[in-house]
Amino acid sequence: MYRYDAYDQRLVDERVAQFREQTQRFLDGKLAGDEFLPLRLQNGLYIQRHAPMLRIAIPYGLLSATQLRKIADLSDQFDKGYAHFTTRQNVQFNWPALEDVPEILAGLAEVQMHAIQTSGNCIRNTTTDQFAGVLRDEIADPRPWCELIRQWSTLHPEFAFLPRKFKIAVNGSPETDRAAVRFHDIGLEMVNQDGEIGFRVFVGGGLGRTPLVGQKVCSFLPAQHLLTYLDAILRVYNLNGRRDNKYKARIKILVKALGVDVFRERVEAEWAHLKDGPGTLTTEEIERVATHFVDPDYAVLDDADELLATQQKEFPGFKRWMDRNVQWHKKAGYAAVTLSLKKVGYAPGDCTSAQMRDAAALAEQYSFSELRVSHNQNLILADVRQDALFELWQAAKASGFATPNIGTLNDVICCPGGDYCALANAKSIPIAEAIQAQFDDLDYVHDLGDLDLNISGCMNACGHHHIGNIGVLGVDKKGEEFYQISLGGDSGLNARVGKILGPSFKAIEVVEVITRIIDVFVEQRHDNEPFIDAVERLGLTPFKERVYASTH
Amino acid sequence: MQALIKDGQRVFDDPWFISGLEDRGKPATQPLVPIAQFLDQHQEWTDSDAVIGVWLSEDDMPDALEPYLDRLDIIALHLPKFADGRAFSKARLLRQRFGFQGEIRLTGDFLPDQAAYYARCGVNAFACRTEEEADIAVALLAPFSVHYQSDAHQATLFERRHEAR
Ligand code: SF4
Repeated sequence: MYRYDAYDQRLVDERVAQFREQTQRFLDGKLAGDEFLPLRLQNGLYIQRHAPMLRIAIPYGLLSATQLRKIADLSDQFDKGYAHFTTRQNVQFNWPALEDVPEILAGLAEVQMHAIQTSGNCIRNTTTDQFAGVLRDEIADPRPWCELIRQWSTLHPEFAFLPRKFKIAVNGSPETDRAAVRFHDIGLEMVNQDGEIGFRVFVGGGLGRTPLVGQKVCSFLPAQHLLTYLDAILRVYNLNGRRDNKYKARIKILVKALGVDVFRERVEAEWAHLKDGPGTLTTEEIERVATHFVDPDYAVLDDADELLATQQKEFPGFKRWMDRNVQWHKKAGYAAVTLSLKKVGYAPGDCTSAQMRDAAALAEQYSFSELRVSHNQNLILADVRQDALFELWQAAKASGFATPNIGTLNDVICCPGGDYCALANAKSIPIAEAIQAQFDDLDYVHDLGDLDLNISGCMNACGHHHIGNIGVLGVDKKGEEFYQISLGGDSGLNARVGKILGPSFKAIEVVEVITRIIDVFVEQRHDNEPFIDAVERLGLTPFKERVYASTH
Repeated sequence: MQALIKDGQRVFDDPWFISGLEDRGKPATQPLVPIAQFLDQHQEWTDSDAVIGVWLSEDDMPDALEPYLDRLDIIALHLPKFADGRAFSKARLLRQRFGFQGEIRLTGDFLPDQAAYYARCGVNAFACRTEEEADIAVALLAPFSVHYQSDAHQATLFERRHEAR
């Protein structure tokens, strides 16, 4: 992974000093609350319902064991001994004291971490595929590009007060889109055109109040022009995006208002001035960053098929775990393992300090001391020897990481919701827990196959409910918490926003509704048909009929 | 206009005032004229040997000034709300694309904490909201000794990194 040099370190240290001074000025009463607000947000600090919330950046989801251990220590020292991994590959502390935040940031800087631009109307953490660099289907490793974007966007002087937040994602695989690039303000898809690496650029995707799929503004952008092209898009947005209504301020609204062709013309006109100027990447710089992402020191191995077959036969639980939580690797004899942070009785993405230390130790022992955070709120060990999988499974079980539910209905994706978030219409965590409790027969859940269920506590869509195969959205009806259910959302190459089933439900009805939806699926399913395909084939009607049969 | 910083120093005898927004107070004697008025009367202005200053509201774009830039002494970018970040881009266009050499002054509602970013975009004078904020802004003008991006004053960090090798 990327290691800071003296420049990177100095910048992060100076950011800590800057924020310490700003916090002090606020505490001294010399900086008004509404003026401290954008400054603290640009450093990930919210004032929430119960306490401040600090969002820490995990650039494109990559984390070392040392960094994770530091987060564990800081959560013990300054919080309640746990942290929450988010759908944007970041991690949050839910109870820090404002006065302590500069100290927390100083602690993070010691391990090359920060909270820069994790919130506010600026360019946020760039995200990518949690399996970047280890699967066979990649055009190229997206991580060096994510790091180049991270550096370009960090404290960018022109784009710190945009009309609204701005999110960029990069996908390296032509076959699947594990980074949901079509649902970002800018989505970059790597392309290999006659041996030259570049990007297909999508703009204006996003969730939130007006979910839209991103539109293509460029079919092939040669890689060295990446940053100047981003500058051009951001400048067009900064100067022309709406600032009169925060619900109309995202770039997707601008693209829609102008039409993608006019938008593209404006970007091209702007870019004509910037192209080949400063910021044009040199081969030297691309190589400098890429050397941080070369393969680790893999052993030369064969796939351990026989051994694994024997182990799976003897231990059906191991087989189930392998089926759901283990991914094939580009390197023979290796596998990528997902440690599940979804366990009945715990909020999705929550992790105690003890679990973080366990995960760090597992990474050190089994996966070159590195981990990844996925947008499904799980942790990943990306480089595990196949002949160590059985041992790792047992260790993961002991730490509560081995729930074999990855990608299933039980692997609920969920925002913090009304228990923590001041913006929420409704609670989301208790709904997630109730669904997990209802579907805790893992054999049944396995047979259902891939099924994303996403929950957001309000229209801001932090739980990405629009792109869940089943989406649950908290709405407020005259002060009471209700839930709207949608079906058919998809974050992949077939990017699609789910369709709302009908009138919303009370909290106590949600589990029954999900159960009825699943019943319809099971009854009408063709052999092994994925849920999303069945919804596409059947349409909403049979689901509607069943769900509204007697509850309303 | 008071509470002024120019090229990193406090200034106490500045002659400019914003015509249409501010009264001509002491020692103010020079009007910054609204861009629309200047464009209307550009012939008269550029024919005269007056010292010329123009101001832009948040919705005004600087492009139309391009033909007259070498006759302008000062361009003020006025901000009604500090959260409106369009002036960052406008300053860069003026300084870097159009090569404006004169003073770019920020006026209106902005935070001392934003001055450093504006300076990197090419603003070199700041009419702060209060004397106290002007003192704070002077101290906060350069909180960072390294920057990843190029700006109105320096190359990208990666270019400097490679030169240093
Ligand atoms: S979706 Fe709404 S409730 Fe949930 S975290 Fe985001 S803002 Fe809060």
